[in-house]
Amino acid sequence: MLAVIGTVPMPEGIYEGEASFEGSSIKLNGVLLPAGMGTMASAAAALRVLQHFGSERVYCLLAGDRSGQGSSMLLEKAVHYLPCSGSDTIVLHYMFVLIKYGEVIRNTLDKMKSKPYLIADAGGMYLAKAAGIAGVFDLFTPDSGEMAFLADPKALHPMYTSPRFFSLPIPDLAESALKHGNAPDNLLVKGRTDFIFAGGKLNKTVGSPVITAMEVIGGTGDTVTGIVAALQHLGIKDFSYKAALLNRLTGQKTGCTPRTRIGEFIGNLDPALLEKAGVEV
Amino acid sequence: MFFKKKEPEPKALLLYTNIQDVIYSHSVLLKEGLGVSLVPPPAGIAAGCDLAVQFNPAEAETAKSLMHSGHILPGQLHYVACSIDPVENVAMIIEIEPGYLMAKCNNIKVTIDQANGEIVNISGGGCPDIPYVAQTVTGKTLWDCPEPVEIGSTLCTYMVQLAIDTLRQEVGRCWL
Repeated sequence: MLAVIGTVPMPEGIYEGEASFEGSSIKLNGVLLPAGMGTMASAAAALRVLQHFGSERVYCLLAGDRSGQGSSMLLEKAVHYLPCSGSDTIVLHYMFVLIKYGEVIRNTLDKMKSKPYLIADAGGMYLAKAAGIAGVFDLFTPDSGEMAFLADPKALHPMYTSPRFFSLPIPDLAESALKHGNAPDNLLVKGRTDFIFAGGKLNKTVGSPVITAMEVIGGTGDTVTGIVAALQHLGIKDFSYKAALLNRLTGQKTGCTPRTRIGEFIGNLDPALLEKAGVEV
Repeated sequence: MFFKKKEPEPKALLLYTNIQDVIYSHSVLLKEGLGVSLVPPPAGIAAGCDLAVQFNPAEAETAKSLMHSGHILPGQLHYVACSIDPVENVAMIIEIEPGYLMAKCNNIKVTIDQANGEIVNISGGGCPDIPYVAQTVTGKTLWDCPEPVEIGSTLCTYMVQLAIDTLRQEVGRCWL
């Protein structure tokens, strides 16, 4: 099963279980939750893709968090969950950067007989870099600003990225991040042009359709992460390229403006677009 | 070209993991006359999502006494051999589409309707409070939204605040 681990804007506590997509919301343990930006948008996009293949469940391990306390609870729970989950694809998403958990995550994964395909975005990715465990991940899905952070060997958080990295081209940023062990070999860098790196090399770029407003809509990067996780989980070839393309096609169908909300965007992710993106249904 | 080697300049750091605490303590220390700056905590000391107030070690006793008396919040006191450059995050403003301005501060983007200052979207970031901050301020104007650093606690929220402050300056200037 595909698992999504991250924090959500809900009261502090752990929320876990098999989630499904209903209407425009995620249903978890009988409760409907809005598919807003962040972890929920990723889970919702993954569910939308999986629905079309008759596999309608995603395991969600979520924590309500506004102070960092929820992230501690989440990571404690996650390291217990990992070895016995049976999940073959796991996404680490929004969370507080708690460097002390880096070694715990590495040790847990080292002890596992069969390691899942690990994807990190947002706080999960910041934690992996700051704790020096980027190498245990299989795929990062940064945006261009986060790629600059990964490239800066000294920055422990995107806020501390040296300004000089923001003017460098994405391939140079990826090279720096890889050289310093701050990114895995596979990257899907989201931006006006999406850059896909496989095995440490630039593999493909996706630049069309151009949907300018997508950059400002909170959650359109999270949906790429959810889509790529679902396609990888389904064993789709060229999953990063197809995820980037599918996200853009969804933006085109939505007719995105700077006012578009992510819930509307996710609602437009449909089977016809999967075929158009080259994903065989 | 020759660069002058930076002389070691010992400093004291007060570390906080909550942005509200660090901003409050920074303002109190500033009012008390300490030469303070906000700096990124160095690796080995940093817990992850934290920010530090830097000042001269000679002023550490004043800071400790303010902590003991409850005038500033308790933080972790550390000493470093060299001063750390202050954080200098600047938001860049771009017209993303006619009538919409986006302020980008590193990986955080705040977009407004230029006509009325309404915040229409916030994207980027990865700290846990960002979805909450985004859903709370979106739909409100730059002037009637709550201050992000008063409802959030992380570095990503601090960048949202910087982006909103930059938009306030830009739009205020245009409306004058």
